[in-house]
Parts: sequence; structure tokens; C-alpha cells
Amino acid sequence: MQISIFARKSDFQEVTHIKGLLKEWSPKVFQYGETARVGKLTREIVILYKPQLTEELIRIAAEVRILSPSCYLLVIGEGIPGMTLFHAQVNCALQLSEIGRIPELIHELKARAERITSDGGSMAMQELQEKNKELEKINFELDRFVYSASHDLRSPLTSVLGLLYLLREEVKAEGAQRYVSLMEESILKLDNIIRDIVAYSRNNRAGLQIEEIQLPELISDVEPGLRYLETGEITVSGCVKVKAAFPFSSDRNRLVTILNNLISNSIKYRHPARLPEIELNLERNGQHIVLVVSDNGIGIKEYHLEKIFDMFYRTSDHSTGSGLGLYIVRETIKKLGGTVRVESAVNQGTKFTITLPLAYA
Amino acid sequence: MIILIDDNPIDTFIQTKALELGGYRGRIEAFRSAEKALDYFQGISTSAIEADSFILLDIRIPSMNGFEFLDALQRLDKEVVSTFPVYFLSSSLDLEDRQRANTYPNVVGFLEKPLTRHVVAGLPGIRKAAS
Repeated sequence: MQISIFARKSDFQEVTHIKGLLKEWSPKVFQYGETARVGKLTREIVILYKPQLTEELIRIAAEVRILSPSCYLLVIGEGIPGMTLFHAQVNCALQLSEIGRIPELIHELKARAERITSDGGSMAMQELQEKNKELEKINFELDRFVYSASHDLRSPLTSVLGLLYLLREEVKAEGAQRYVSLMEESILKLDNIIRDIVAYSRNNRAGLQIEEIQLPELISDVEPGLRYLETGEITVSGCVKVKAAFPFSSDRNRLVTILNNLISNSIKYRHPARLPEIELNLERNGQHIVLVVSDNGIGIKEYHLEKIFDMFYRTSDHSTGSGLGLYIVRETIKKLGGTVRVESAVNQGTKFTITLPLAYA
Repeated sequence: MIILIDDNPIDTFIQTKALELGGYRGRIEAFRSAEKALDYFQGISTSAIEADSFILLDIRIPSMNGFEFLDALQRLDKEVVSTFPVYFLSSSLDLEDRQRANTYPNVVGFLEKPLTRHVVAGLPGIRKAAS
């Protein structure tokens, strides 16, 4: 077992004292501030003298114990069998005056660790596996909860929406038609918030599922979710033109989320004087693929451009959504290991350029 | 003939109206549970099934859900019945539901609620019946 002590130069004398006490454990003394080396440590115990815990230290430590106000003990358990139980025993707080007890304490811990490793490193492993199983179960249940709750919230909304469509057919009075439209608009807004929350949760929680993707196929996956935007003359299949495409590898569900948001924006914020046209273009660029989604819509004013990907950001003049759509787009692209940038000209259109990795490990 | 399977009578009402507005003039049978629909299929004779028939099937129905219904339908071992075209019609946003739906050979589409006359007018069976 090797012990490392991190301390400031001014505390060197005391460190030397501790070092003396820890002689038999072949300690290494680093000056405080050399945290860059911490990342490479594979030792089992690190004692921090008058520490300022950095984020990196906390990240690599399996356990941090405060021995005294000026002395922390870090257990770094990476890849050492029995370590989970080992560090569980490090729960005594030492006074500064008791610092001399550290070797004794470590001796005791080491003995325990050896005992655990010999008769059941597997016990710790088992404990870990059980924890893991439990977490997987919770994850699964939370997922089911999101889908069940969103379905139950949406069911009455879709019923009301269906009834409003019928009302629109039967009651032709101008006032009534206007009220129906406003009701539809309000319900669709609420429905979109639910959709956004589900998409957000899905992106955060689901692992990447890489498969071969054909762009035209992807469009047909997007279509049903955008049916509500379709009118007599505007259909998704009619608006969207795939200019160039080739099969590529990516996560289908995430791409559906991205295209769903971009295409629905293009239709919602179409120019009043023309039918929406959305062009998709796919290119290979070295180790990346570049997907460009451009439209002929109303465009986005320059001062909004840098904020449109922010959570809950809405441009005041036209926005009808939850302010989550483009935030989800950016987060989803991030999850795919890609980037997105936007260019826009008011009254002419908007162009999103999405760069994604060509291959996934 | 179109068979509606949905536990919510408001939704089967909407579906019936949307089918009519979309130009469908044929028979509509609505079932409030998958079990009742299954009983119906069990008793039906092959010759009684009209051409261009299909099922509009909700997924989240109490007791037997949409997928369980399809499994049970396959087990009925009547070729006409097990190849009966099925459209799922749901307000579920669960992508797994869609992926699972694609594994059934007789599922021909996945529609989102509410059913509207525009969607109905685009269904192949309806187009044929209306022309």
C-alpha cells in the first residue's frame, strides 16, 4: 500500500512529521497544487493535509473522510477488489493530536481489506451488482412513469381536440369557428409542453442506440407526430425535400426528436406569403456527417440567434411554444457528440447546420 | 368493415365521426375491451369478413392491452383473422410502443389520436371505398 500526502509548502514540516510516522508505508509527498498528478494515482489511500478539495479529487475518490479540520483522508478505490467494504470502515474522525494514530488506523484498514479480499472480494462485488440492479430498476420504473403519466395527461387532451375538430365541421357560425380555433391552439400548446418534457426526459435517460439510418425513412418516422400541423395544403411529406442522402449510423429516436422540432418550427413559423419548403441535405466531411436543415420561413432576428437554444427562451414576437424545443435539439445533438449552428435571414429563412460523428465507438 | 377497439367511448365516437367525415360509408363495430373484440373474432366466419376491412386499435386498454390482443389474435389460427390489417391509434409517446408495433406483420400503421377526417381520407382502404 502506498500513501500520498498533499500539502502546502508552508506545512512541510508537519508533513515530514507525518511522513516519518508513515515510513513503513512508503509515502510520497507532493506539494499541494500538483493536482494534475492526482488523475494518474492508483493508490489506495491519499491523505490531504490542509486540503482544498478540488472537483477532480472528489471525482476520483471513492470516499472522502474528514480526519480533522486540517486533514482529509481520501480513499481511491478504482479497480481494487473489496474496496467498497474497505472504505466503509473509514469512518472515524481523528483529532489533529491523534494524527500519530494514522499508521495504526491504516494498518487496521489494510488488515480488514485483506480479510475481505481473501474471503469475499466477491461480497463487495455482489453488493455493487445488487445496487446496480436496483438502479436499473428505478431507471426503468421512472421511464415507465414518464410514459404512463404523459399518456394519461394526453388522453383527455386528444379527446377534446377530436371533439373540437368535429365541432368545427358542424358549427359554421363565424364566432364559434374562432372560439374553436383558439381552443385548439391552447390545447395544442399544452400538448406540446407534454411532448417536450417527454423528449427532454428521453434524451437525458436513454443510452445511445446506434443503427443504420436512411434519411427518407426518418422523415416518415417524424410524420405522425406532426400530423396536427397539417392542413389541406400543408403536409409534412409535401414540404420536406431530401436533397442528398446516404445511409449513416446514428441514434434513430434522437434524430427523430431533432427533426421533429426543426420541421415543426419550419411549419409553424412559415412565411405567410408562401408554402413552407424544408430542405434536408446530408454531406460527409472527414470524420463527420453534416446535416443541413433549411427553410423558407419568417427567419429569426439576429439578436435572438445566440439565445434560441437556451432553456425556456422564447422570442416574444411569434413564439407559441414552451421554449424547450430548440434547447432539446441542442441537448440531443450534444448527447450524439455533435454540434449545431444556426444562420437566419428575416423574411427569407433559417438554416440549421448539424455536425455529427461519422461513427460511434 | 372497420373494427374500433378503445375503452374510451368518447374516442370511439370521435373515430366513428371522423371515419364518416372522411368518406367511409361501410360498417363500423366498436368494442370497449380487447376481450370482447377477441370473442367477436372467435365467432366470425371467414366468409363474413368483407374486403378492405381493418382494425383501429388503441394500445393502453385496461386488462388486455393492444399488443396482448394482437398476440391472442395470432393464436386464433384463422388465417384471415391473423392477417387482418391493424392500425394502432394511440396518444402514447413511447417510442418503444412504435418499435414493438413494427414487429407485428399485420400492423400497417401507427396513427396518433385524435383521428381526423384528413387522416381517414389518406387510409388506403377508405380511398378505395370512397372512389
